[in-house]
Amino acid sequence: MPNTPPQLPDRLLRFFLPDDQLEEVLGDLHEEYRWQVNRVGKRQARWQYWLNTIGFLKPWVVRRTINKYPTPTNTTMLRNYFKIAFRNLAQSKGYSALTIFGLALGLAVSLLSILYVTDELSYDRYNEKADRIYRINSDISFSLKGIQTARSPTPMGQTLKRDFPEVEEATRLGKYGSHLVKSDHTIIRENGVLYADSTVFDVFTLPMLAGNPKKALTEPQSVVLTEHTAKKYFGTTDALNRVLVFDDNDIRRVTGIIEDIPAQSHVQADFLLPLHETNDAKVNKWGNHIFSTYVVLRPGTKPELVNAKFEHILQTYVDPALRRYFNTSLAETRKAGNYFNYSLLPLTDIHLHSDRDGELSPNNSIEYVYLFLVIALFILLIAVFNFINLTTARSAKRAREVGVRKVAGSTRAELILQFLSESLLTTFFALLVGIGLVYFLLPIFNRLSAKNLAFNQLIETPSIFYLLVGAGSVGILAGLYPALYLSSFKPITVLKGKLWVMPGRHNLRNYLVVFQFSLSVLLIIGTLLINQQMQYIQNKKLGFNKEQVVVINTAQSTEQEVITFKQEVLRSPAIKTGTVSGFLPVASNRWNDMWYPENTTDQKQSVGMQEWQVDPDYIATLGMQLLKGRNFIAGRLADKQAVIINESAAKRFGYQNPVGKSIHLTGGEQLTIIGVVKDFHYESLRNTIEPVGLVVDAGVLGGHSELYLSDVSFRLNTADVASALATIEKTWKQIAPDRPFAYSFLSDDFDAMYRAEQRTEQLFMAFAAIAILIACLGLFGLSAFAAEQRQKEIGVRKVLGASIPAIVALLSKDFLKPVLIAIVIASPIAWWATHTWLQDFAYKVDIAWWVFALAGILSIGIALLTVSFQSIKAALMNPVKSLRSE
Amino acid sequence: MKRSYLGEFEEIVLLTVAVLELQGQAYGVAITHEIIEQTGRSVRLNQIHAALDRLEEKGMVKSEMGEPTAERGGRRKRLFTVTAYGRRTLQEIQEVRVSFWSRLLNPLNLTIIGG
Repeated sequence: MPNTPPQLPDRLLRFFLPDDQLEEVLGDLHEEYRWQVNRVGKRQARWQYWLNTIGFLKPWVVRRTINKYPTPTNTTMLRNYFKIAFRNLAQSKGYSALTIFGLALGLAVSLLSILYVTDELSYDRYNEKADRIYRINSDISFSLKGIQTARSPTPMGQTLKRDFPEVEEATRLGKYGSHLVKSDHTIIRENGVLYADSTVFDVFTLPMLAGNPKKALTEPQSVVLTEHTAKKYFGTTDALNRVLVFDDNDIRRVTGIIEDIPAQSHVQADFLLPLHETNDAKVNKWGNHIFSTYVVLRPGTKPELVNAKFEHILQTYVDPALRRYFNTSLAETRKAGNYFNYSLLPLTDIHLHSDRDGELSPNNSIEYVYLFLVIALFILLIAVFNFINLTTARSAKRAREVGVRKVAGSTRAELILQFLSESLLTTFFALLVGIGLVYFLLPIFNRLSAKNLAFNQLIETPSIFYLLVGAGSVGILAGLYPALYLSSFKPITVLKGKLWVMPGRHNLRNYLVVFQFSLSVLLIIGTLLINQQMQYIQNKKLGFNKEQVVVINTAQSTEQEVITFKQEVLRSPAIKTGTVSGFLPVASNRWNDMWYPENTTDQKQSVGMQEWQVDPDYIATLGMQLLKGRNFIAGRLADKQAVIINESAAKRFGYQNPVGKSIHLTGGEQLTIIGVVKDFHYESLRNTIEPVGLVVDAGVLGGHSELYLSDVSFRLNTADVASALATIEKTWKQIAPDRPFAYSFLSDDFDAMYRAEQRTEQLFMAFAAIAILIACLGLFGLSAFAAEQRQKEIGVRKVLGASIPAIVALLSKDFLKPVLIAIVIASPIAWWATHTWLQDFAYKVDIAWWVFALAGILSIGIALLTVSFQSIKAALMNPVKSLRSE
Repeated sequence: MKRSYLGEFEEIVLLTVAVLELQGQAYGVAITHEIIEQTGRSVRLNQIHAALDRLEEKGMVKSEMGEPTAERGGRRKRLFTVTAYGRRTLQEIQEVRVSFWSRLLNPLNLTIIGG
């Protein structure tokens, strides 16, 4: 087209010239171009066009336009909002500090809980096949004693894999207590010894650093170590083919080194030993529930499909086993009211949803995680309410600004945006402080929650994004109501100079204070009651005396060694009595069997009873009480066929006078009951006391003398525990010079059973303290503000003769009402919550009324203390100052 | 009397505006062509624009947007008019010049003789 000027100069001009000049200049240039085209031709005209364009592109043209015509955008106003927000924060430093610190505490608690919950939810997910791995759970009732266990019959896994194509792989894991492990220069008693099938590497993701995963556990006398363990024993991870000795005579060669198992795993081990070499695996009976079985299903297989097939397994394999070993059939034993239920539990549900007999490691419960989240949410809410309260309370200060902005043409939406950006700014400051608090609180929190959470997780790229989004939503949540409230002021009212009147008593601010203190009271009552229950457990008559008893671990020792050791130690006057027994009324060995009353083999009359092998000094050493009959007599052969039962067992057998009656196992010898011991608690007080029978020779029952010999307990007769321990250690070193001396106090072992509850108590206490602290920060701010507002009123009252106590009472009264209402609201909720918690315990305290009274008095006291600081300050002020200030 | 300084080029541009505004054609291109035609100088558009901007800043001309035309690609012209202040400035310059010219043509100060 002959008449169009070149494009590039136009583009340059569009970029450099201000918009208002562009039209005129371009128009002139185009007109000139056409004129020149007609006059001197296109070529010349284009040349002219370029020259003209360059003429317009002078630096001063460009520079001048910026100053002359600013282009306001949204960010300009936003910048202004943040500037004003910052000035406001800086102007009232006290209030800003209160709000920011309160929010920061709330955010810090939330961050901690998020770290905790993420950690809890990530259990076992490191496994690549995590969504296809299942554990087989067993719910069995045989002889009318139901058990729910994480273990399943020994042949189950391989049978499933062989019979059902849906099952891709199966593996078993099992533990046999602690082992003595010896290398060239160390000998240590190890608890982390796990027996595993060679398929364990096909099921779980356990990357092998050295060795062949296919063969590592198939070779005879092999052991696989974790990296950490290899370093511990050999000082290097290059430990293939080196030798470790287990329990004195079991010599094993290292065939593999795996990476350390992540902490977020319910399977924890330092050593993996081949499971197929154990006797239990060789016996391979359907009735033996000794190992946990894990299966991998093929992709897309529903677990229900496999669950439905367990009936087939029962008919094909369990029924013949029952006929062969128990002289009964599946149908018969079912008719007697028994059942065998097997089911698959997803691997990722084990940590939070499973609390069964025989778990590989103690699990957490999902309720605990929820409780934790709810409390963190409560605390965050309390902090957010603080923000709302303090911002709206100070609205009078901002009222004039709102008026002026509205008169100057600001719309309500713009004002809302302004106040929201203010709360966002505050929240981000709080977030920074909160992250700092987390940094300092994390070690304490880790100790309280028995975790190993890392601060670094918080400052990785994705989590920073979530943090900002999270803090942003908290900021909007906290700022929305104040923004709506402040932006609603009528300019005419506030600009007329009319003092902003505090709205009526039943305003939102009071409701929020009520809510804050309700939550605080709830937490106080929770803490008090958990504390009471813990005291109750610790001081309950346990049926035995846990004080002054020291337990020495003598596992893997011969009977001769153990008995010599006991006799040698008893020579010392500091030791009162001693007993050999691996069965103790704390977490310890257990052995269960079905017992039948005299002359019957009827399953319906059988009693599930534990049998503990003890020696004649057992009852005296543990401070138990014999109610009827007599104790065992040392060396009396007839007592090998004797049994002492506890009260629960006597009740279950239905014997009014059990002494002299006899009981027996299926096809076993008749044992005569020679005594009844008073019921003693041997499991957590969450459970009721179950029947226990004490025998001196388990040989007649099928034998498990290695369990019997695994501990020796001594009752001390001295205050000098240290020297008594030294004596015992010296004796031990003489008898077993190459074994470590491992001891514990019975009372500590007892406490260990309640560690979870103690943790709950401590966490509750910490959270309750933080909740109250934040609520008080808010109350402090509100009372300071009220005192400031009523300065003149106080001045007038003082001039007219009001006393200081009267004024303090006047100022404090307003704040006590919401706290009182909070107590009334929180008490029934707290009663219900603690009542529910206590249902878990078979033995529990009664919820006493004074707990609520105490919580009430505590919260009133704290609130009063907080408020009175400001009220007294205001009441002491010289009225001249406040009245002159007009 | 304090008066804004007006450069020679500005004076010519201002005069051209005064002349062309009678036909309503006082805008960039027309002014440029008129000056080239009348003075024979080679003037560039941007010089005229700059001069007009300066004059507007000094308050001697004012402008408004006119009608769009096709040869400008549908863009509007900026039409200038001389303000009263501009006119007075032009007149004062003219008077000063006339007074000097009259003395130049009449070196013997004929006013005394005539008087």
